[in-house]
Amino acid sequence: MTPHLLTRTLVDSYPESAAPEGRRSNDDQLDARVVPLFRALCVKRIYNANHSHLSFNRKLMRLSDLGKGITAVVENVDDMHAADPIARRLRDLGFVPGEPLRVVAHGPWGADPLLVQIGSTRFALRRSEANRVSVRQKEE
Amino acid sequence: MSDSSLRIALVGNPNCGKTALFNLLTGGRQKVANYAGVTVERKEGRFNAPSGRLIHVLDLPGAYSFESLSPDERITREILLGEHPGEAKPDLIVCVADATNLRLHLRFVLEVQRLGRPVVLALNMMDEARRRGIAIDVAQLQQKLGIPIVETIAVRRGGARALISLIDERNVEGAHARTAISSDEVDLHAEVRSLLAATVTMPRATDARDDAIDRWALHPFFGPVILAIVMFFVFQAVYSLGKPMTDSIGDGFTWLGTQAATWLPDGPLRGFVADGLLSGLGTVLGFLPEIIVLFFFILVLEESGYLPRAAFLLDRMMLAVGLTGRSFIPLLSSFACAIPGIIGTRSITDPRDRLATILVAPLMTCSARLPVYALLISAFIPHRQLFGIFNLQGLVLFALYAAGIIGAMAVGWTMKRLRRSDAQEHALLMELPSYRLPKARDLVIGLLERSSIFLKRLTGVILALTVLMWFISTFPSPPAGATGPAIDYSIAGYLGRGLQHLFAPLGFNWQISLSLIPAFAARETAVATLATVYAVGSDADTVGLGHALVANFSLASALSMLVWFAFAPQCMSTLAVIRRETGSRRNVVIAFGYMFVVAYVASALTYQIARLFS
Repeated sequence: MTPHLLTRTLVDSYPESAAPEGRRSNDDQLDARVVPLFRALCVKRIYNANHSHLSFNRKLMRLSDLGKGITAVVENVDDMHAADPIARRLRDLGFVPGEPLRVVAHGPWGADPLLVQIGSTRFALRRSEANRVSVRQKEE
Repeated sequence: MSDSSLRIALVGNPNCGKTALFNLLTGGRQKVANYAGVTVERKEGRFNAPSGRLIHVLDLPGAYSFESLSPDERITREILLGEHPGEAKPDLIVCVADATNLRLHLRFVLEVQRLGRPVVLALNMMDEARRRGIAIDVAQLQQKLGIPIVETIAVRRGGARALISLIDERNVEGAHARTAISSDEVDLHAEVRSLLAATVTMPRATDARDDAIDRWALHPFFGPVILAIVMFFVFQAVYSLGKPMTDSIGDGFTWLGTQAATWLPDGPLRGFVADGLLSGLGTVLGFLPEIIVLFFFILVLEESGYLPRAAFLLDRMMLAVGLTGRSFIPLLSSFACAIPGIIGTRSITDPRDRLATILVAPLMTCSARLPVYALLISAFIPHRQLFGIFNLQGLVLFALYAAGIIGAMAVGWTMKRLRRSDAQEHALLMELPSYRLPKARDLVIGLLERSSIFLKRLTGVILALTVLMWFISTFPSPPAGATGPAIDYSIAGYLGRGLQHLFAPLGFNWQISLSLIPAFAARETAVATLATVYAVGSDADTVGLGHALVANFSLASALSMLVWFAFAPQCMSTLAVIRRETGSRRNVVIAFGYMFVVAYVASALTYQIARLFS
């Protein structure tokens, strides 16, 4: 992940000092790595809060850009073209607005495909497929 | 249909255990494994309920949804509604759902309910759900859904008792079906969400054990390393576990042949029993242990749930060579035999990906080629340890398997280049199942099944070909005053020498050239034919086939023959299945043609290069 994206990610997912409930149980390890970073970035968060017209808050991202281990909520699945069968299938598999998900693994070459955990199911999606899903970082 | 009999159909999401339940109900032995899309054809069976009522059971391929455009799912829907031609409408739909994954599976249950047919819900894998601490308020779920629910454990004896008694006692006409129609997917998901909130509590969304294993198995660096070690271990094991057993079976038949030669009167009968039956068939039978070891590992991998992980790791690489991660499982089962592999490609939704997979599947080394490899390797490759851990013979075997895989990649890449550029996208969208410990019972059934197929082939087509090969290498007898060995005057001698002109650049002598003919019907027969030809042609009654080979041709020829078998156009049954599955004769010609050219060129190169070094 690029540094500026990480910043955005952390700022969005930590509006308050507590980590979201779901993440604490699933990803203690990750938290251990992330929390110090988060502290370092608090300054930026406060800056953003005071300059909300500049902030990245509420900005949507593609599932393909979501970092590993970070929980987000599906905003929408977009059809790439009319009657897009892949988008349709994604919706059938539970990629519907409001559903929480998490990227749990990346493939070894080019970080492709992604392994996405949604509910109790793990789906392997190629980046091109994950591009259809827009997500928002989970908020408390 | 009579009043007393009942038709039920099993439907549900892929990999929820429909086929395991089908086997439990009907005493069937359909293949089960731990990945989505094991069942690609409808299967039918029946059983008698305790009341004596006859119940017909239909096992359908898994479906995620009826609303998408996939042809299998459309057929499933038609069958359930009684709209599929030639298929009686089921009286009762048994919707099977994985109790550990209700968020996904309940949505499909709701879709099935909307068909307006009588439905019962079987909550399967209840043992797993309990182990993971998932609590389901079945009574309340039943009330909210408005359909009867039973708990099942399809992998345990008696795990379907509740389902049987429900089906048996139930007055099907009275089963109410919900008719509320709303086709909005979001609505279905919202309904599932509210059902789950009211009836299910899960301590955690996933199995902690799965997460722990996947952290390593899917690691960007360790994942591929583990995969390579697993595959390498399997092929080493085939050699080091199977070989000693093969040797003792071979010794047994040599002894039997000597006995037969002592007891039977001199003449064609003695020649037939000793040279044809015992040398020929006995040699092939000897390879059964190696085949069993190979199948054991394939079954364990299939049952464990590791295969879809391997597909995940390899997807990007396979995409680069014009295939897809989904090709991995059909290609792996082609190591057993290309025929189930080619049929298994039905789980690949994209037609071009599927055709590419079908065309390269025969390059995977099938178990019928194992006897040929094992024979030549043990005769020509010295038994030596490398670096203290690797066995040189096992290493050569691994190299041959690798040659098939690399060949398939090269062919896939070439096909991708030749194909007109396509704007349409290829989808992966693959579910990774929970890991599961393989059940001893399933392994035993699977191994018995494969052994019986092997023995049937042995006593059927291989026996017939062996008899034929013995006949043509014995008759006609040499004319009076002939000087050369008798076999030179037989039909086999003439045929082999005729073919040798074609195969001379590959370093094949006439005996090898001859053995390629029956090998086209069944690979293993090449071994039986060589055994017969050398037994008939030699003066001694029985000579170890390995020694006969070493005495009669060079290492370069042996290597060339190994390479030929790695790439050569495979058996007739495979070509027939390609014809059936693709519905096109053109694809058969393409498959045969490209494999012949590749095999010819690769063998010729091997022979010429090996000769330079020896």
